Amino acid sequence: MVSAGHVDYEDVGLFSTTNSGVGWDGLTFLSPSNSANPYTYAQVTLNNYYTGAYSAAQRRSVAGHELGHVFWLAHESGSVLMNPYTCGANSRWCTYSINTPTGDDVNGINAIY
Amino acid sequence: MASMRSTDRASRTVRHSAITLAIAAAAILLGALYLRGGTSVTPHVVVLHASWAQNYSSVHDLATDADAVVIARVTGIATEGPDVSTPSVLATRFQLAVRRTVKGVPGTSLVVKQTGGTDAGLTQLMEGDPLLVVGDDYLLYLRQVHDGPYAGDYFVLGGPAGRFGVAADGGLTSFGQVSLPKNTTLDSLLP
Repeated sequence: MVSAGHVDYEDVGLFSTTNSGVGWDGLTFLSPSNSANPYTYAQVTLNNYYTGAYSAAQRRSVAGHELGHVFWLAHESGSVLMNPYTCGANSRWCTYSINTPTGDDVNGINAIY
Repeated sequence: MASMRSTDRASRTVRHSAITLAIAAAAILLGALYLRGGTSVTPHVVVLHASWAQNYSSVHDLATDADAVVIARVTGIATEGPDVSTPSVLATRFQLAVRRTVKGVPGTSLVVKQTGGTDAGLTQLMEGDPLLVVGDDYLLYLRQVHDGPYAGDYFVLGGPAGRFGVAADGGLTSFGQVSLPKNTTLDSLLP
């Protein structure tokens, strides 16, 4: 169980899928329950259709990004873990080689908790 | 540096507040729609957060990677429910009428699949990539699905990156990071 600030998770599920019909390589949702205990379940899914061709370090970039969402971080642009793009222009991994939290990501966590 | 951190925190706080407000507004709207339909089912709204495999910063790069580039009108929803490949996630398959083909041979109609939708009282909304709107026109840079249960369908390249809203006067609205010069119109963009 993860318990801090806004988050009081009963469970964090980590899954993989192989889905060729989407453009995402990772996806997270937080399942709300009620206002007193807003999130009780988080599910992170990595899409092997894309990540199967990634290096271990690149997969870590996707997984780290999604776990940032578990801790309630939102998307940011630039050289940060919460950059929503793995490759392409101004992307988290292929441009900036980010697969661990940067100072901005840590500031975000500190601001929330 | 300290002020920069404060700015970062304030910015994130505002962003999270905005997301919370958006979720609340969606819940109220959906609740009203359900009530209007004569049921008291309380909708359950979940926001999805994606890592997109590929970003695009120019229409040239989008066009290079796209299997099809079309101007099309969303005419309806073909199916809505759990994604067969990833059942914990909802998918909506939109039916579109092609008004103009710029690249590829998609025919006069096609189906575009998007993550998100509503099923059995559960609504899933993708952060930064709202669902297509029935009746609206779009310029779309599309990838065709070649295998699996959705073979033949298309999805938008780069999530929000490959989608532009087309206004009645031909003006374009970008959903992603592809910045267009002010007052860019469809005619000025197409070959």
